Amino acid sequence: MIKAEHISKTFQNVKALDDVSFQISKGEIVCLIGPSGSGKSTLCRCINGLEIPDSGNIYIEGKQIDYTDQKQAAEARSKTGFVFQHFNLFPHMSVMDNMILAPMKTLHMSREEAITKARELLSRVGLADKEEAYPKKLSGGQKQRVAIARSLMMNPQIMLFDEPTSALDPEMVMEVLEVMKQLAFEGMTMVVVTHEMGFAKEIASRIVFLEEGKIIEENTPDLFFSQPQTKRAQDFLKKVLY
Amino acid sequence: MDIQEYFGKCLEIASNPENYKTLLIGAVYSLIVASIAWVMGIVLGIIGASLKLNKNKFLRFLGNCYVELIRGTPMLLQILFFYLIMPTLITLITGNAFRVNKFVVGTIAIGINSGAYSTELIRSGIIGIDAGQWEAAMSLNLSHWDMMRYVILPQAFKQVVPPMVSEYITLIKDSSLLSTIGAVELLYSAQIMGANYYNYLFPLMMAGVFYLVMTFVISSIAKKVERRLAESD
Repeated sequence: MIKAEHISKTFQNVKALDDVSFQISKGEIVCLIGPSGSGKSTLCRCINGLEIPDSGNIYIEGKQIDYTDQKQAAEARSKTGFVFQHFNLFPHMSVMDNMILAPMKTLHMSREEAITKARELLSRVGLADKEEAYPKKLSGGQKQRVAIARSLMMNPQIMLFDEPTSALDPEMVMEVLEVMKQLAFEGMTMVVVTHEMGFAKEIASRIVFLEEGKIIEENTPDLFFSQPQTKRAQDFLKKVLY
Repeated sequence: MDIQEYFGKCLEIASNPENYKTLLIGAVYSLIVASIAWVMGIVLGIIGASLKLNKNKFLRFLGNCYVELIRGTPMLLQILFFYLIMPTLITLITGNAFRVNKFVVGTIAIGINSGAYSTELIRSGIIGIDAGQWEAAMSLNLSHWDMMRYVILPQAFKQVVPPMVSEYITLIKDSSLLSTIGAVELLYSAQIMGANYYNYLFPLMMAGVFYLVMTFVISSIAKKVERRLAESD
């Protein structure tokens, strides 16, 4: 469904991604893990064109995407939803307005239609009573659940999560992971950049381990966590698994 | 003339209600000049900011030229340019005598000047918006126009209101520069009055009070508006 070929990206002399190739098929849930600065977020952002790779190609459903071309970028983004570490809700709009803005403007949904859909999604993420609230009044976990619901409004076929729980207080991590788990069970194709090893182990169909801009190891969660093949993955797991 | 006479003269000016009326009319002119120039500046500022933030290199260059040229030269010189040089040039080019109204030219000069400062205020309001907001709008596939219209500009607007108000207050004071080209606004009315009575103490101090009242009222209103805007966050 998504294929990334030979992606390289350098930020001010730091190689964030070094000739990385990656693919994901429909219904798969891929967790990207690795130490900070390993390039996992950059890879996730390249898929959605939030970063433009210096070299390499991105294919979505077999079609090569040039994200510098507005039309192609829009078409590619209509298939993907993106969830940010810092939620990025629009602070000057109520939860409901956050939800319905893009569907109305981009998908030309009618207001009533958008509101009906928004209410349905909000109750799915357990926030049916918050549609009038402004983001400032929500907890981190609630904000992230609204953000997930907001991107689901656009009917994405693939959801990209860039460290969705890293900015949350520990007691709020669960509620967000639960929503993601529910999505996973419904068969959503997902790319998740995460530090939540337990979550990755439970729901991933595949683990991709990156370090210093390269994919070091790729395996099923069972094998990856029980018998990591590479020294680097072994070292990493030793540090993060308590 | 001793000091008693000096202050006695003051009382004489102060006891004539006509004098207050003269200053009040001057103040109204000052306020009109500042207001029109301010609005002009906002319009030019929006244009200037979109030039400076444009992808097109040449347009960015134009925006930079405007801001640097205006900010790098005295406002008084700009006023004199529009009053003394521009009409002459137009006369020479068209061959018809081109006469200008002091207030009109002066307001245009101040407006163009203010536009350069507003450009920077609006530009910094826009680039001050968190990158995450742009990215979220982008990932939701909003068009550039919708992104600006619904996400970026409303947030930038809130950022820009307080400095825009202080720009307005600055303009009320700067409008006094038009006294140099003989436009009878508040300061020049006071000067004329002082010259008539051979005593400047009361007219100039009173003009100062008028400026103070205008700026104080505006900043009080602005504070209320700001509080209102902050509530909707």
